[in-house]
Amino acid sequence: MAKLVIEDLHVSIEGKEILKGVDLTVNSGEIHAIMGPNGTGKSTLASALMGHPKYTVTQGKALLDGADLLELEVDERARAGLFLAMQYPAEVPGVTNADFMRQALKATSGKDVGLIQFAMQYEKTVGELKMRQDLAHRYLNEGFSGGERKRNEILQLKVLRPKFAILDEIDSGLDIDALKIVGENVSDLVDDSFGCILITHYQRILDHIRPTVVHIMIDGKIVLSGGQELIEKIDANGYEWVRTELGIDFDPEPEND
Amino acid sequence: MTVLLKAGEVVSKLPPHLTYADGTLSIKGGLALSDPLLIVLDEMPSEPLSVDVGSGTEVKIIIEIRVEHATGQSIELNLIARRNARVKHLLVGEINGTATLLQNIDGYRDASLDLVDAFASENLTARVHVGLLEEGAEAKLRALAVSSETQSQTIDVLITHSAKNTFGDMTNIGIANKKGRIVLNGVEKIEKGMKNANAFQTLKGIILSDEARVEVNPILLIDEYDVKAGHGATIGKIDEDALYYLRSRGLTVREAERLIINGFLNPVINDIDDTAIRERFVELVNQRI
Repeated sequence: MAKLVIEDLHVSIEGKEILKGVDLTVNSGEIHAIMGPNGTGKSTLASALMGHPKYTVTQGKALLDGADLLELEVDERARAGLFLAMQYPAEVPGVTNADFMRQALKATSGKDVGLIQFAMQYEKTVGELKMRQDLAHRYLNEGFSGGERKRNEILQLKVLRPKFAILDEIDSGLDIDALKIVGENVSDLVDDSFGCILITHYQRILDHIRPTVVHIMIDGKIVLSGGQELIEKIDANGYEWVRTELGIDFDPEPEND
Repeated sequence: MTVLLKAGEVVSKLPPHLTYADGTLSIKGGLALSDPLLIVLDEMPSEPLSVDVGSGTEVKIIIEIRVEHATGQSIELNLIARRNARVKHLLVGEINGTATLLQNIDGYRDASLDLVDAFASENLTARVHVGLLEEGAEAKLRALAVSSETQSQTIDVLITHSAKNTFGDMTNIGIANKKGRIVLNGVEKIEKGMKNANAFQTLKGIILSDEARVEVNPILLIDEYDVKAGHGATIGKIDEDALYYLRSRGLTVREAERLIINGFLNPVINDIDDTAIRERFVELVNQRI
């Protein structure tokens, strides 16, 4: 049983405050969906938790099983059990997926995994995500389609088995079939040692991953939390009703976070 | 098989196919030697050292220079590949102090030269000259320099095409860390009348810190129309996004940088077809980054 606690988190980028006090508690075994219009800080939350250097935390706490994440370097956060499936995963020429993953597995698990054992496990996971069999030998994300990159993020998640994963718009760039594969693979991971935050604009992915809780984020805050019924309401009406029902005034901004 | 040289003299026993006289180690012609020839120099030799590979002989040669305190001396190394010789060669220069290294390589008719130079020295000027002297001679050279701390290295590589139908390809890479400096000058020269010569060069620099410096100068000097030639140069820092990405999977900054640099060098490493030379090269690079 693991616990991720975020309290009153404020985050700025280049002096501009994006997150204005986020509170969120995720236990393992739970899936939390964070939805909201463009530019409200959903991806900022993901990047700030992982420790992207561009984001400055100005106030608040983030604790993973009591450990202060905000005091840790990016790689220490990963080794503490946090994983971010990125919206735009980088390309790393010349580094094969297999070499990278084996080294990452060693770093996060603290154990040296035998080459053959690793190769078998990796190939099995490649099969489960219905990716190309030569993936192990291809360079990390180089020349990958948008959908391949997203699947590769989930593949890494499955190999590394963190305590918590944040999936930042894992659905963008995926076609219907890929969405189903990714959704099922993520759902299968959830057990009492793994929890997940799912960031999305759309309800599509939520057909395949059933969230425990749905949060709506607007203007850097979680303004409403509830169950599946919120998804249907957003699907039918967009986000305008939030403004009127909750009396929140917000200006939609272009997505750039 | 290892040959040790002290003060210009061979101090180990030589097999029958090798002879040493007046600073020249000669390898007989017509041989296919599978065991690499390792020459270790642990002090600055005052006289030039030459290795003369006889006609048709196939050989791997590794020369490692490890000197603790050089005080401005120069080392001259010569490699001669006679007709049809096939030579795979790794030169390692780890010299502390200040030194100049001159490496002259001559390829005669249809000689094939597969050359790797790796420099990790303190204050070094290296001048490497490959002469393609007769028709059909070919040379592939990869020169790598790694400078860290306050190390400063200048690597000049010149390939001269003095015959028709010659092939020359150089890939020169500089990696600078901390306050390290590297200058890479690559020149490929095709003389007049040397038809159907092929000259290619790639120069690359990687900077690992704000104070590190790498300068690359690719130059083609061509005095003949009927040739093929191309060149390119790039300098860059380690991609911050790639670094963040690898770290987000648990790799430390050091592990991530190492992986990225090895990835960057991968095309060069994969191109070294001799296993012993390739492994030694990878080991050397990874000790330094």
